[in-house]
Amino acid sequence: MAFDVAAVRAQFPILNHTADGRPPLHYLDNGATAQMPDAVLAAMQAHETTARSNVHRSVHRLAEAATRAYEGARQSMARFVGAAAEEIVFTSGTTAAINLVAHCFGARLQAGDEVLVSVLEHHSNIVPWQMLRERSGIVLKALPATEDGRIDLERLDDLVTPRTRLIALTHAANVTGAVTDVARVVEAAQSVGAEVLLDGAQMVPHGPLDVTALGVGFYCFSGHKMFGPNGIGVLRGRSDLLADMPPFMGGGEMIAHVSLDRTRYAEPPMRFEAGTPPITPAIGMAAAAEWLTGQDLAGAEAHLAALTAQAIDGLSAMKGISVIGPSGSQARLPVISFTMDPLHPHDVAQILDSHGVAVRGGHHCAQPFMDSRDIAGTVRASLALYNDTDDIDALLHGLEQVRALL
Amino acid sequence: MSEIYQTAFLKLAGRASGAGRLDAPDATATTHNPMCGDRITMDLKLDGERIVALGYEIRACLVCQASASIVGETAVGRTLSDLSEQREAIRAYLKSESEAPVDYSDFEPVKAHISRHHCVLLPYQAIQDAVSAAISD
Ligand SMILES: Cc1ncc(COP(=O)(O)O)c(C=O)c1O
Repeated sequence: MAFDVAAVRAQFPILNHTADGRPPLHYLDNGATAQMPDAVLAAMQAHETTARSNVHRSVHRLAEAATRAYEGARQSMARFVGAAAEEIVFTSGTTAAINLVAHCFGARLQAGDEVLVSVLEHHSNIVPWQMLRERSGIVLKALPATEDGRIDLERLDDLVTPRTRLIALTHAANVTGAVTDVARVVEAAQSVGAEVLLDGAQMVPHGPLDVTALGVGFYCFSGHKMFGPNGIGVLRGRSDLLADMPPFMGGGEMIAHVSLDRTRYAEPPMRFEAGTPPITPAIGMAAAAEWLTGQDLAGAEAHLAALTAQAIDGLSAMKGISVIGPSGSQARLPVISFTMDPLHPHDVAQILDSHGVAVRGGHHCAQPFMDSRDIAGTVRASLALYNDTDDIDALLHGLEQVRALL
Repeated sequence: MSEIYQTAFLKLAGRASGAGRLDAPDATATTHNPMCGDRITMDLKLDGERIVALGYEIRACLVCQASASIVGETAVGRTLSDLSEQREAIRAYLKSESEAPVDYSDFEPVKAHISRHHCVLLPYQAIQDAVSAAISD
């Protein structure tokens, strides 16, 4: 049976909410934040109205229910990425997860040790490493991009050295949608005993995965891009790595015992979760993971590949538009960046917005990549499984209007 | 249709008044808009507090280009404190706290788009950055 996009759309209240007099919403900014289905909204509402309490503290009924729900969310996230529950640290998002690794794994690095990123990274996978370089004198290197917007893995051979301790790359690039060939990265890392961190922020909205099979030490992602709430994310760290890392922040929940002289820290993952965690968001994120896992993911993939082809074909036929990124459908996400010469991405995005088409224009927090192309930014249409051919038609039609106006 | 991009506004941006670098400026700086990566390099020749020549090179959206055109058409002959006042007046206008400063009436539709306010102010920020850079030299 064909993928039933109408049935998916019906589950997203925001897509069916038309504000007074406005055109219907064509939401193509999922790479920034995806929308939440009823199932996620309901799970959070149910928790807030029946079990709201703090976790790991009190013994009363609500506290136990909250603790069970929060630890249940951890188990759901563990299943979603193919890890053990003890390997799942809840953070506030991808950015916080990468910063946690930069601090705590980074604490074990010496001056001269190397971290390898790429020019296609989101700022959240560049700046924490620059800050670590300031603190401890590590060497930060970057893989360049290929002409079609992929990380140039041919360069692994000369950029990975015996001093490489970590290769930190995006699993899928938020500007170009290119999916990284992880096996090749892991092989290069293993050849020198380095670890691999993947930024999975853009990858996880496309379904569960198996980090253990991928062979990576760290995997970071956000709730709000995978149909969950914001303010929540996950760091999955392999248990031996987490066990060897000092804590990030100090406070409640992360301790085994505190005296005024000395504190013994809790075991992972609690060691890395100081303070009251984002309990309801964790429950929402787990509901999103379960909702997503229950979708027709093979159908969604084919559906999104068809929409991507429709968009790329339409864009390629328009004068002055250049798609920045892979042209084929292999190893790419439904994330389509383009420039519209000589127009500025914000002007294009603004006019599209007046037609109800929500895209993002700008540098997408990937300025090094933009600089490498000498452009200020791109217009980016990033699709989720609830998008349909009407959305792509609206995008293409809107771009014709932009052309006519400017 | 997006209300921002009316004919007068597009003409203003298209004029690119004042665009082009100056030889041997007294003050220069490149200022970026962190939101979008736009940039403007501003060159000034100064006689004390007074701007006697101004030029710039810009890579930016139409909103920023239009604002830069106004700067190019009006800044020469004015003092740096005039321009700081103008900047504050624009800021207040965008927040609907006051009427449009002279020349900015075509920016009325921009007020509703908070994400674009920075674009309007960027040329003024660049002037300030150029002056600060010259002082610290
Ligand atoms: C590839 C990638 N990494 C990291 C992030 C940062 O995610 P967050 O802002 O949720 O921490 C984003 C999203 O903006 C992203 O697309």
